[in-house]
Amino acid sequence: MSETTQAAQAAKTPAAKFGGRGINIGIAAAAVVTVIGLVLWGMQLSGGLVQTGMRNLDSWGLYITSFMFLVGLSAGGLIISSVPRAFGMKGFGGISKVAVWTSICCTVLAIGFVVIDLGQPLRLWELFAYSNLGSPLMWDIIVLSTYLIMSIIYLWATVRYENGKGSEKALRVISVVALVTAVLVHSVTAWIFGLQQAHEFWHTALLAPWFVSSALVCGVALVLVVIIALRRAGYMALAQENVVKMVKLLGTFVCVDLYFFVCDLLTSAFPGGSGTEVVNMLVAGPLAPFFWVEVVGCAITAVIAFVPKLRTNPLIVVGSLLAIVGIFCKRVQLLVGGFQIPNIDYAGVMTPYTVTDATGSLTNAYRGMVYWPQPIEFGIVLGVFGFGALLLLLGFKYLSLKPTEKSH
Amino acid sequence: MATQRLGMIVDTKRCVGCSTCAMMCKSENNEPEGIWWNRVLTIGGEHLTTPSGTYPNLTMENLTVSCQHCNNPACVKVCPVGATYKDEETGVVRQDYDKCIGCRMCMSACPYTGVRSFNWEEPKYPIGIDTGDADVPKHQKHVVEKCTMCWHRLAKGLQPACIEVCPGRARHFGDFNDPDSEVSRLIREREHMQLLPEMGTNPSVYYLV
Amino acid sequence: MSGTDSSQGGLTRRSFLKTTGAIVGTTAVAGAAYPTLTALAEERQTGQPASSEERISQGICRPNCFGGCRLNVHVRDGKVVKTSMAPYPDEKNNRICLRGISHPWRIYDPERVKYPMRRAEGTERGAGVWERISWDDAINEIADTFMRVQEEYGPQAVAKWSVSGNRGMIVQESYATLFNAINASSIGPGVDMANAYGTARVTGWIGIWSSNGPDDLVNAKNIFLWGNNLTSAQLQEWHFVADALEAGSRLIVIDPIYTQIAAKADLWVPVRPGSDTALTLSMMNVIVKEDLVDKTFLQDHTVAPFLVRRDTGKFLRMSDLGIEPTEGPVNSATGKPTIIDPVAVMVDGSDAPVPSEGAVNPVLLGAFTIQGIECDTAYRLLCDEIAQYPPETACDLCEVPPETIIELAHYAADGPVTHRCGWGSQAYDNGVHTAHAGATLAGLVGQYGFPGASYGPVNLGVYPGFNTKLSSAAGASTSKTVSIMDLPEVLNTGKFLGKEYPIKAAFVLEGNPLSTATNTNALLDALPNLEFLVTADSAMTDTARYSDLVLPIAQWFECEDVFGGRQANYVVHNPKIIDPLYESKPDSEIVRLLADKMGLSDKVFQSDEEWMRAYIDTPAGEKFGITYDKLKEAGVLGWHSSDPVIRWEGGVFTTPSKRLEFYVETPTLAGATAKKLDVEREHLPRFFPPAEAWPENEKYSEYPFTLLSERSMYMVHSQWFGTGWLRELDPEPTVKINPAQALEKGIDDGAYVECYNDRGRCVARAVYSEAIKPGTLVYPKNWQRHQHKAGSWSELSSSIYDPAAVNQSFMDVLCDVKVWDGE
Ligand SMILES: Nc1nc2c(c(=O)[nH]1)N[C@H]1C(S)=C(S)[C@@H](COP(=O)(O)OP(=O)(O)OC[C@H]3O[C@@H](n4cnc5c(=O)[nH]c(N)nc54)[C@H](O)[C@@H]3O)O[C@H]1N2
Ligand SMILES: Nc1nc2c(c(=O)[nH]1)N[C@H]1C(S)=C(S)[C@@H](COP(=O)(O)OP(=O)(O)OC[C@H]3O[C@@H](n4cnc5c(=O)[nH]c(N)nc54)[C@H](O)[C@@H]3O)O[C@H]1N2
Ligand code: SF4
Ligand code: SF4
Ligand code: SF4
Ligand code: SF4
Ligand code: SF4
Ligand SMILES: [Mo]
Repeated sequence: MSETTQAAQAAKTPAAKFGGRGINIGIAAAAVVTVIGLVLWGMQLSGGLVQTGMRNLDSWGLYITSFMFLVGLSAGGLIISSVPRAFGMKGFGGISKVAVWTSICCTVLAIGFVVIDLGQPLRLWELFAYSNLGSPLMWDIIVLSTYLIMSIIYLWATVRYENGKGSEKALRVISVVALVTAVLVHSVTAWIFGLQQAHEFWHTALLAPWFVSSALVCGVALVLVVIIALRRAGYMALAQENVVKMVKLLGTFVCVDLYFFVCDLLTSAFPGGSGTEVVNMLVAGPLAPFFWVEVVGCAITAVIAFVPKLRTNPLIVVGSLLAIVGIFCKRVQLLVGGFQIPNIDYAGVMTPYTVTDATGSLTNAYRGMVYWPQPIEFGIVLGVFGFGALLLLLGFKYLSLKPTEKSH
Repeated sequence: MATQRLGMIVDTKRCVGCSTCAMMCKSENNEPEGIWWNRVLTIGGEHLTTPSGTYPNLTMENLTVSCQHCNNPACVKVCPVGATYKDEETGVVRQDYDKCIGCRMCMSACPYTGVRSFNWEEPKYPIGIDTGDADVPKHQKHVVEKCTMCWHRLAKGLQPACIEVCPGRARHFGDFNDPDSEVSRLIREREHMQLLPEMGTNPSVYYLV
Repeated sequence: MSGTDSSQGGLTRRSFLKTTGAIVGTTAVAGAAYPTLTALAEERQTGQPASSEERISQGICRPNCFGGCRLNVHVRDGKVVKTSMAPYPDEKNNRICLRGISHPWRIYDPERVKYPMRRAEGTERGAGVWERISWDDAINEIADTFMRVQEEYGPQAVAKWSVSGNRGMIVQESYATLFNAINASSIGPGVDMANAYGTARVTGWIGIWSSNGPDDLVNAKNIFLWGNNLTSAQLQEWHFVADALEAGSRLIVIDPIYTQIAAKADLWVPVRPGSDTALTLSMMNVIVKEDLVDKTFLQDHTVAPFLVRRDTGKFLRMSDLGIEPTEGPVNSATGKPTIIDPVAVMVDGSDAPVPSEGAVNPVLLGAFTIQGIECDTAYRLLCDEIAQYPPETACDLCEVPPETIIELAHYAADGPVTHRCGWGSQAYDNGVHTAHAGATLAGLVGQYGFPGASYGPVNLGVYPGFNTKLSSAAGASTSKTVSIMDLPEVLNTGKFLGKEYPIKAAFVLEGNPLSTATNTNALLDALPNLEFLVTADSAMTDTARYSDLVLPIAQWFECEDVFGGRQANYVVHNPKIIDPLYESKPDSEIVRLLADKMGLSDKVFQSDEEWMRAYIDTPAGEKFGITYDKLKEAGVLGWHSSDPVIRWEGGVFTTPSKRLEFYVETPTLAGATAKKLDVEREHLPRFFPPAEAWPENEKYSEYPFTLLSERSMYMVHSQWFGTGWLRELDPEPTVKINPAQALEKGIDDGAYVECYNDRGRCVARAVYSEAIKPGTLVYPKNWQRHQHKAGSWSELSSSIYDPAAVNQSFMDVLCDVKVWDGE
């Protein structure tokens, strides 16, 4: 059917050398998933966001979780590729284009997630017409678009440089700017949450640096998975020694991230009072599964990273995936956790718009996770990721992302 | 032009949690099914009008909560497009449905859980008529709304709708910037509180305790 | 549950409380004082004036909640878009509640009855299959059936069946005219009578309920609320109580349940259900023991010194002692002179009895043999009764600790004291005595007849200027009133008071007895004996659903009516504000159509205006300056002069002796009933356990819960049951249970539970509430059957009643509760 015909057509194009039929099937499948996502989004807009699990007391959900997560992935990827360049480190050049492209894709997806979360996407233009520069969301929009543009320029400059145009110095400058925006983008995203005094769980100064460390964890992990996969697929080669360097880096970042976590929990719990509530919620409350998956997953990643014997390719992939999943869990904890502790939870009228499960009392609603996504949200999220895969694969197929001589 | 700080007082000693103010708000503002800008909460057990404690050592109080029209509103700061904003002349925190992009930043920024509500679908009116005042703006799908301090009434020189209907005579309205107003007098004379003062929002709704 | 729960909720609630600081004093409002702003400050006006293209008329909300709130009815494009508070001439009477605001929903309720409907041929009653018919068909069918049934079985075979749906006058009166004309029976509602008779037999009858006006509460030092959930059931009076509290009155709430008003009280006394009389007698015991009685009041304003004959239980009269009665002034009602035959009392230092009037310092406590007749003073009999209830003994009955009883006695003696007796304790078979005892208690300490002092349910002053005889001008019906409690048996046996008494057709108006009356299953079992049941209503109530014919009636703002005041002493006019919706018709028009068909057009008024004039334009009305024309123009006119109303001023009562008759000389039946009165018991306030809900009852081991009902804020009886705005706040039938007991029973919060006994069952959602006394269950009353998963509340209550009250015993009910199995 359409997949096969598309794949067949794709197979004829010159760039199809790499991956051949496989990548075409992948592209076709991704396209189908994307279309399904678009249809679901249309349904969401016409039937209303009521079809999601979000409600007045848990007013953000999987979309914003995914947004946070993807901003992290993207920033991490870019940092990983630009740091060696910025500091003139050798050996990583080969991965930088792949990493940047991955970042670009993630950024596009992150923006996509904000858009699908909006009630009135057709009013997006107002962001530019009536911008309230005091709003962290506005900052994020500015920083994200800058970042997207910077990443594209950086990719373009890298490709140019590798094709013998442009100077290494210019590339370095661009990479430094990209690095700064990457750090910024993550901090600003953190501030969307961290500047809100309304949610005890979010309102911590640590949130920005912590977002950056988490970004590094999952960014490096993603790049690791991608390059190991691409290496296997024969798309590129990378010395194992460099992979190991990255794995160690991953281990370090994981430790930093866990360290931040410990700092935060301790600061919350130590004074007693409502901070203990936050800790309880994570350690033993409704969010415990996400907490423990993150903590244990990241710990395993760290072990794999630091025990030389364990640094085999399959285990590296496992460790990286664990880190990615762990950071996703962290995002879930953060988002849902923010709503899980309401400031005012006295009994009052409950309507179908109050909270996801409005059938019992408020306390019942908070007994489990206050928010859980509905099928349409999973569908749309899948659609967005499908679109990401599509972009990624199209990039691999049509952009010259393979390392060249000059990459190194 | 002199600035006012219009606000409300609820006397918790006189409030019996009857929801009359909530119902007037609902009718006056044509709030769709499932939407309550003004809600009665029970400080007590897990359900409305249930106490805390163990029989027979019990306590129960009522709190009516709607937008607090904060002097330093958390919601206004975060709105990317200025769809929620503070009217400088009156201090009323307003909401522009036509502008709202439905991002719900304001909902998560507001510390007063539940005072803002989002129209998660096309507003529903099972009785097929628009109730309340003709000058209330039409409700829209996928935008955030909340207590407007009955802006349409203020514009006509009237008090908000919820004030005078209170069977307990527990609600008062006025300008806190006017030292001679009833509300200023009440908070001079009576013990009172604001909700979540540590949030730094400085609400213009006071509760007499 | 409470803050002890380890869930997030509990902790959060705690932390919130902690951080909600109270700020006292003047510094709180930043920048509050700019003197320059004073001049510019704008005072906002109250009121709900019309917005663009809006028309406002004033009407009155008139269910049986005693509220009688004047409403602004806002009409836009011919639709009622809002109901808001309309002022009374004096601010203190301004009132509205959430239900009054919900009228737009009620009027445009998609489920409203729209057309006359007949039960589909061949379907069972209650099956819910209806065919739409024309008004002509409906009226023909009713008229023909009524005439046929009366022909066949006698005039009594048709019954008018009404309760209390609309407190305006035209509906009841119009139907009454018609049913009087055909000599129909009535079904007696059997509601609210125990406290009415219990107080009236002691103080005299001046309308169903009397006490000082609510604006007098502020004059009371101590306010007792006995089984009176005032904040839900008389919300319009709460602000008077709040004013009193602000002014320093002490509020004492006696209720097994921790209600909203209990939460506002200085002292909440959780009493065992059905035991108030024991508590009251015990308070009197303390008062007598500590000599806190008001001796002068007892001597001069009560029957305390009256001598009571041991042989007959009657007062010893001077005629018993050979002194001939004299003739007094001519009684205007009978046209005959009144007979003056004074009751005898003893005075100190003399052994010959003297007439009570004018006796100085009569003996209160004593037993005498006078001319061979053994007598006791009424006070002595009372004291003997009281003596049985020292606090320690009473405590076992009413579960109030002795020290609390003593404290209560002190408060009751520390005047001015106002007692409000509600309808809680009178909802048991022993309820007459609760009110009787309460009125006696107030008399014992002289708390009657001055500001701040009274005992009574509410002050329900109904305008005395109406022509209440209008409906029986052509002769009242000679058929009987059969109480709802007797109805099942009468229908089943065809007999009443030992005589043939078939009832074969009934017309329900302003009532929803299959929901609001007790023992539904007994009624349902008996109803097949009824050949024809018509209900006139605007909602598909339980009763309408079970009828053969349903008539859509115009709602309150769709027709004219007049209201005689309830707790506000005003006559209020309700004009027709919008046209009746769909095919609905005003009741008065239905009456005209029926009368026409039955050849009785000359018996009824041909228009509402004619009726209004005949009803309002009376000589008595003239005196108050109230006429139909004036009323129509003003909308509301006051009729009471003294403000606040003080009842029994100066201790003058409306009893035959003009005294407080705590000893009832001639107890009477409260209505037509085959039951016998225990005259001996009825003379004095006495405690006896409720007929069912008491541990002595053998059923208790099987059904250990006393089932109480509550009046929620979200309905008045069954009215507004389908109103969406209210159902958002209160979506489905619930039953409140004490959490500890629920856990014992394995009942989760929010689970569907079945409450049941040998009469019936009801399924509702369990709500954990610490307010609930262990051993009781509390349900908000009068949800409709179809709103329940199964059963209905009134299935569980019984038909038992006390002939001294002929009142339904809504709470004298035992049951058990279990998790519902889904059947
Ligand atoms: N919202 C609303 N208001 C109403 C009505 C309505 O249906 N809805 N109905 C109206 C009518 S017709 C009436 S008659 C009145 C009734 O007015 P109330 O009598 O005030 O109404 P209830 O809610 O029945 O209150 C009875 C109280 O008595 C308590 N109680 C039960 N048993 C006992 C007992 O043995 N001793 C004592 N001391 N207390 C006991 C109950 O817990 C309850 O709190 O309300 C009127 N107002
Ligand atoms: N379990 C329990 N049951 C109780 C009580 C209790 O305490 N516990 N309390 C009892 C008491 S005190 C009372 S007073 C009764 C009240 O019992 P009801 O008077 O039967 O109760 P309502 O629900 O007011 O029923 C009135 C019906 O009249 C209709 N109606 C209203 N206006 C009009 C009109 O203008 N014309 C016509 N034709 N119909 C109209 C309404 O729609 C409604 O369906 O309930 C009793 N029921
Ligand atoms: S109307 Fe008055 S008494 Fe009723 S809930 Fe509102 S503030 Fe409280
Ligand atoms: S209460 Fe919330 S919504 Fe209202 S002004 Fe304050 S922060 Fe804004
Ligand atoms: S939801 Fe609307 S009002 Fe709220 S922040 Fe977004 S745009 Fe502003
Ligand atoms: S001021 Fe108006 S909008 Fe606000 S709670 Fe009162 S009635 Fe509702
Ligand atoms: S239901 Fe009763 S209290 Fe409420 S508005 Fe109507 S008359 Fe007044
Ligand atoms: Mo009643």
